[in-house]
Amino acid sequence: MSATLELSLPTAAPVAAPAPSRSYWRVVGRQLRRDPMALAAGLVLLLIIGAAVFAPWLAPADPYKASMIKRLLPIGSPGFLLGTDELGRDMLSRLMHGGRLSLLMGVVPVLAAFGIGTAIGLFAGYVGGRLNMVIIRVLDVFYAFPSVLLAVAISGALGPGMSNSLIALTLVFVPQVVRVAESVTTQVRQLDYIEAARMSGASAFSIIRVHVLGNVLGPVFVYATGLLSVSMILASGLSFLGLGVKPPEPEWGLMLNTLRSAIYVNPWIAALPGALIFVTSIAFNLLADSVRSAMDIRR
Amino acid sequence: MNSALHTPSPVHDRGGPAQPLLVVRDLKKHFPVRSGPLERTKKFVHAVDGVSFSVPKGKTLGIVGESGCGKSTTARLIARLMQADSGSMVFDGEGVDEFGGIRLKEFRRNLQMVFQDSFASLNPRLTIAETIAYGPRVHGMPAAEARRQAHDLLARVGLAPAQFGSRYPHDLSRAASASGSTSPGPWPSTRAW
Repeated sequence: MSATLELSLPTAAPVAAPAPSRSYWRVVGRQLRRDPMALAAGLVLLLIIGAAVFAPWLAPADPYKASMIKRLLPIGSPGFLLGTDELGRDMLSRLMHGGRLSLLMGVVPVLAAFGIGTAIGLFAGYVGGRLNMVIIRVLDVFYAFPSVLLAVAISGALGPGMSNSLIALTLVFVPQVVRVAESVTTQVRQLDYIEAARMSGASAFSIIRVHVLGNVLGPVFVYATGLLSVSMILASGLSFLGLGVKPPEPEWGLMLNTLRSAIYVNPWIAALPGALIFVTSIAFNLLADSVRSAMDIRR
Repeated sequence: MNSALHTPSPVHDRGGPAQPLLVVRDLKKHFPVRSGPLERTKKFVHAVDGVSFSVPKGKTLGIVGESGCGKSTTARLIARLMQADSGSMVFDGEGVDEFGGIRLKEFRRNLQMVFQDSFASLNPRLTIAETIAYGPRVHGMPAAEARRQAHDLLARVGLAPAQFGSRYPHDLSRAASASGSTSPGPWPSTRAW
């Protein structure tokens, strides 16, 4: 027996079909499509958003057209599928049109806060040290107030109006997003692969862009989706208090306020805008939960 | 190597084999311990306290010691991931980042660190090929060229590029991720000895 010892590197394994390019978001998407809860919530949201976006074409009646003789018709009246409000306007049309403003006021502040908050949080977390402490302590002052109180206070100080309440809501959410972005960045910053990137001679900007941002965006995104429902409810609250949208503009929170007087006459009609706010924010919440677990596949 | 075109000012092999590759003199690093209500610095931990050594070209130096005695801190100080309190360092006859010496970026092109945990030193959001190509990209190599070299490197360590190049760290084996994390050193053959 000859005792030859052969050493070799494993030669390129039999070339299997090239692995399908699996981008991270594609994997997350597939995970979401398998989740019945995500599908249901997504479908509900799609319906509500679709109805709101295409309201001018889909709505059966003019949402502003009042009629004194057709006030507070019950649900299912001929010609008025969901009845009429206290001024005889078609509820279905008003709810569809109201969704436009309500959804806008739910989504825009969160998007703005997501952008601003992530930038501040990344900067604070990556720089670290004293500057980070100063930034976080200053934002903690905002953080200490309950968000409803803060939203009402800022909105009240700026004066009523839709753009002012959008600004107020953005200011409410920015500190919360910064908090999350900062803590994730601080965590990521001390990981070995950041050190390895520094070792390769990369600039701070390149490290943040390539190595930090990609790993911070995920958790911040999940947190921001959770804020969508809060934002919707706060926006409705501001309108209810007369700080947001003004009548006769249809908006769910404002409709809830004006229909308050009809609650003993026709409680079902009065409850409709509230039910829509409830369903929409629950759907946003469930979807956020599913996104969170779908994005957990790595690590 | 075929990358002469993209090699920014090569560092010369000065002095030949007689010149030590790395000379470290009296390296010191003390970490302050803050305590008390005003966070005043009272004590220092002497992590690295006057370390001197030199490494000749072609030789390997092993530093042994119990855990927490400052081995990794020494490595970090040499790699300039951390600033030393005092001490000097000469790399192939040149100071690093000082007047007349080589720049830090150039220095890092010539010195690499192999991390203990090969998995943790890979960005979970980048494919193996992207991670390997990142180093050369930082030093100005065009994307396509860096990608090609990354694939070459993968093939050289026995990982078929078509199969492994687009994988993420979490679906590689330990051994494979070790080869991945060792390769980021840009231009593996900048200096030949």
